[in-house]
Amino acid sequence: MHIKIRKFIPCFLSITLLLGTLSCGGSSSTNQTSPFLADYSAILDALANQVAIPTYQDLSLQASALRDAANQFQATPDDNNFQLLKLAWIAARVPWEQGEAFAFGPVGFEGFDASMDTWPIDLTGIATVLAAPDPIDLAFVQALGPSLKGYHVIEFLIYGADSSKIPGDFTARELDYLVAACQHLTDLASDLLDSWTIGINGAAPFADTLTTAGPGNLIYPTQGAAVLEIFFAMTGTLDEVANSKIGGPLEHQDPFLIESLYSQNSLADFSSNVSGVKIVYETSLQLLVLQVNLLVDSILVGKLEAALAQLDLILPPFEITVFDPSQAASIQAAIDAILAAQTSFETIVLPYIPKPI
Amino acid sequence: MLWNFLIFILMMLSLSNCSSSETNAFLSGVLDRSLQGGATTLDDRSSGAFTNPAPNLNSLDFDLHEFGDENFEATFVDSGPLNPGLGPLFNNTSCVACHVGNGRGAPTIGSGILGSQLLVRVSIPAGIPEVPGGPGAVPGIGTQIQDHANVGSMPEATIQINYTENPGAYGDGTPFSLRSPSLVITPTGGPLPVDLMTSLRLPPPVFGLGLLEAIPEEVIENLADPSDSDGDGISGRTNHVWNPLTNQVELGRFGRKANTANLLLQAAGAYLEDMGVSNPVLLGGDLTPDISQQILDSTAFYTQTLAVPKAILLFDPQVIMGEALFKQINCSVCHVQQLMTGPSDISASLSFQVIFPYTDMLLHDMGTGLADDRPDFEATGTEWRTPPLWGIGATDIVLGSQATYLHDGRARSLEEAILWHDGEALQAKEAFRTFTLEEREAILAFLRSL
Repeated sequence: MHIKIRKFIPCFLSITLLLGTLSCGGSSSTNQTSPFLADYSAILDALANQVAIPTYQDLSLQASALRDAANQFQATPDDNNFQLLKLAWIAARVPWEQGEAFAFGPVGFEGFDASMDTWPIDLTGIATVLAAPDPIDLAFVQALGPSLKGYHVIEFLIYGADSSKIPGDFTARELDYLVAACQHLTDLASDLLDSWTIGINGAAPFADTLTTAGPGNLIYPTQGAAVLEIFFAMTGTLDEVANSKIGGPLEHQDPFLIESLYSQNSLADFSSNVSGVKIVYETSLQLLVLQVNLLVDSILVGKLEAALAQLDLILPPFEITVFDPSQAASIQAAIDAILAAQTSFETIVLPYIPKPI
Repeated sequence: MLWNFLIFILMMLSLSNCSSSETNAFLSGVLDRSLQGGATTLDDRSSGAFTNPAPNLNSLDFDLHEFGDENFEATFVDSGPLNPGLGPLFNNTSCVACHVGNGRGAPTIGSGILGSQLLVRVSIPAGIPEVPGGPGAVPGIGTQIQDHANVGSMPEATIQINYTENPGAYGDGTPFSLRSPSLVITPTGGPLPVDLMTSLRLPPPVFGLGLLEAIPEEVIENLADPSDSDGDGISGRTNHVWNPLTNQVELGRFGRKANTANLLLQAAGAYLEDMGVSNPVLLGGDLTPDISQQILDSTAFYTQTLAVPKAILLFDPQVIMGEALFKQINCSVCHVQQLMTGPSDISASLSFQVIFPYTDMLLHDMGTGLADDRPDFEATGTEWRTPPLWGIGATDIVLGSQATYLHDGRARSLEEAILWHDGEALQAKEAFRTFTLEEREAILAFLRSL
């Protein structure tokens, strides 16, 4: 699902107004009660080297495994290989969805998100591709638009429109498309990792960009700007999972708003998003919070664990449950729990985040 | 209005995280220019800096903004249950695919993973305008090349950009190089006209636009000095363009050459020309529109009601020096720092705001180096509308390594953007070029603070 950049909501203004008013006088941010640190390097280094790079390394590995499973299924399209293929697709979703919790940097502005995870997919275009005589290979898929490749096209090819596909349903061209699309996804995952570790398109490694935040860094001219980026990525993910990914289909009762419709893997995607936020917090921003207030840390971790627990209480698959009125309360409870976590971060943690300037 | 003004003062006092000296400065009459969008300003310098709703929206406006946000992000497809209507010819598949993070696009074109975020406008001198006074359309193409198509259809052309490096040097001998683009257009149909005029366009940022729309027309007209009556070498003209909704000629405000009267038309044009999505304002030959009036209206409203990021480092000595130099060398004659909106019939949040957009909304002759030699309504081939500079300091964090500047993305840095200035801006450019390194860096620090 397309990464959505987080937004402030109007009530945030009230918080800002309050904080701004309280800090008038100019000295409150530098007195002994200041929560601000002199150096945020450990937080930035942890996000880059203990979260982002390992997550993208895992993504690259899982995408390669998916490609291998597709190749194996094309060679021997039997039930066993089909089950392995499905498991490989589901496994490859985990690091991608966890990565949405820090979806800033090259994943957006270098175009990876659009090419790897666009929704909706172009069902008419897919049918036209499959009906045409042109060979379907990697170069062919590379040239296709974003709604004709990526996770959800692969998902559609594997599971079919009604999630009931069996090995005997696959045509030779579907297998060609599947294999080429998986290879393309693998290449993109590798490039995404490279963008953080060695740099692509002439840019510096993004891990270096993040960890060298400060004067002279055009993207993050202060460490505060970089810490704020991490914070907003986390809260934005919680907002999107609650309001768009779960709340959208629940409100509109539209199956085509569901995250992973064909595989019926949406609940796992939601949990990966929230667990991704938890990983980001517990690896990076927690370093800041723990220095200020142990109780705050336990509240935040508790909120995230409660959100994950509420997601676990939704009767799977979400793709059916969301249309069952008797299940609406459990879905709403999960939404509320995720939003409660988001609110806690915004109201409790944000004051500890240094202003960019 | 008085109530709005009181709220505005309260917001400035509290949002500015004010020290007593800052407060005194304000009370002594110095408006806080950090609130670049007035009460629509928000303090955010993250990669989402351009994606926030204006903080002063009421709940109804906020809901409409949110609906518009969904539509701005919607990816269109050929047909199907969700977002059908793409193409058959198009440049890209969603608004946000070109306006990355609601900022400018990347300088890319073709089938790479960033797709075509640049587009090419075309016309011929003897072509029949699609609207009164507009550019002459190219038979079989129109006024914009769609270089993508749905599967099974052929795009109008493939486009390649080649760059030529042009070496130069600052007054202190420090070398620089400016790249100029040239297009290789390979049509899929018949040959292109020999007198084809082309204009490469980079998508501009979309925040703060409702405020620019709410600047009273007479304010913009009063800034114009078409005959340079004050003798400062800088003229500034308004463009006057056709509004198909009112069937009359109106002041042009939006687009690189101010060739669009308002944001509803801008959105309608982008849907039809950039995505091939017909709409109630521009059907493009379809009998029924691909999207509803409600969707079109909400998308326009979204661009009208985005927050403007707060300027930073107001009291940094280097920034203060840069601001003084910016004014000293007359950058601020075109990049007008402060304006005030009038009453807005779009949203009360936009009305009577003191804003710091750094534009006069006027056309200026920018010289032959930047010229596209393609007239657009009353704009000549060397004229461009002064782009707003608010938020330009957040470009790097929004676009990272893809950040470029000017109408076609040729400038790889703010320095290069300044060095491309010519025509009416020649003196300002030369002043910058012959500045000391310290002075140049001060100007850049000021721009990055916006």
